Amino acid sequence: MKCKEINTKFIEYLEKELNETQIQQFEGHISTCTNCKKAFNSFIRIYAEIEFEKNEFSPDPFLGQKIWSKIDVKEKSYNSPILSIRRVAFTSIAAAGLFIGIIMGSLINSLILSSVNDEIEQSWTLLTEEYFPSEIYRPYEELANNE
Amino acid sequence: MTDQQIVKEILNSNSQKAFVELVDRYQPLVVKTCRGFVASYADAEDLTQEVFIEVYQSLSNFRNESKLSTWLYRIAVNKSLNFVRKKKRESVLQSIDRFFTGGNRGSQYFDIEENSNANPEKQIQKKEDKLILKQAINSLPDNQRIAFILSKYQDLSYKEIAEVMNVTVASVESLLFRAKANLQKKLVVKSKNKP
Repeated sequence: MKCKEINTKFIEYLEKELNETQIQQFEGHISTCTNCKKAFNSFIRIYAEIEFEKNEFSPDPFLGQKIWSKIDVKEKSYNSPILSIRRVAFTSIAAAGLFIGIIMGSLINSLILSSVNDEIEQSWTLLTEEYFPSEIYRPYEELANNE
Repeated sequence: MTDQQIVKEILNSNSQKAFVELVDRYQPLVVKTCRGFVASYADAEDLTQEVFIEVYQSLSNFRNESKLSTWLYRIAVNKSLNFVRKKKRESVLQSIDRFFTGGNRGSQYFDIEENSNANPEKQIQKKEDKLILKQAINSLPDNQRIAFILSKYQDLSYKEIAEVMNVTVASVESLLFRAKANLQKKLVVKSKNKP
């Protein structure tokens, strides 16, 4: 076996998935090749962390109680009627305020617009009267007479 | 009490006793599964709490078609994957932040816990080994990672893994083969750069 091939057999060797011949070839190579030996030793150390993490577990006898109290707090906050009524009240008041605001705004706007329009119309009438006095210019009457 | 009785008790009478028994019974399964994905035992414990809260909240959706343990594995795996993704996103944002603020810490999305009893040199080496292992495991595609963790951290058989992952036994074999090959590649490269 060459270095490249050895480097693909680390896990298989550690998990005893190699056959007898492959094991002999693997061990033979590792004992003579310094680079592969070094890489294999580092690999063993890193891979051993899995076993370490597996055995790290220590049962917490109060875990069930802890989780239950968390669930209880959550449930209470979900089901609290005061909070939900308050929330609904706040939302309704805000929505009503917004609605009234929009209605008032559009009413005021239309009032202002109509008064402005009246003023504009009046000023146009005055201006027309000044340049084309109705006593002299009667275009509609003249048109009717011609017909 | 059997699993079915526990589930029935919780659903029908919201029994705290039954829930505590469920947690005690399946605590090792959930903690060890989560531990395979996350870098610290504390994170695995936090995730375990989240898993059991989810179990309680969605227990009414559990149908006795599969084993309770299979269902628990699925929830634990999903929670862990989401946790790791979230951590990864946070780490990317932090590295962007460091880039603009001129910080000099490298990108590490795993907070490896320290063992204060070991000597400093060994402690550093152990920390590095853990980091390399977790980075290698978490760089595997999701399916390979799940199969590998269920096999190595839980010693589940191919058949059991197939049930949890809802795939065929042949798929599990193939996933595990590829997971080991990929992991080996990544670890060999890293271990060559180490003393």
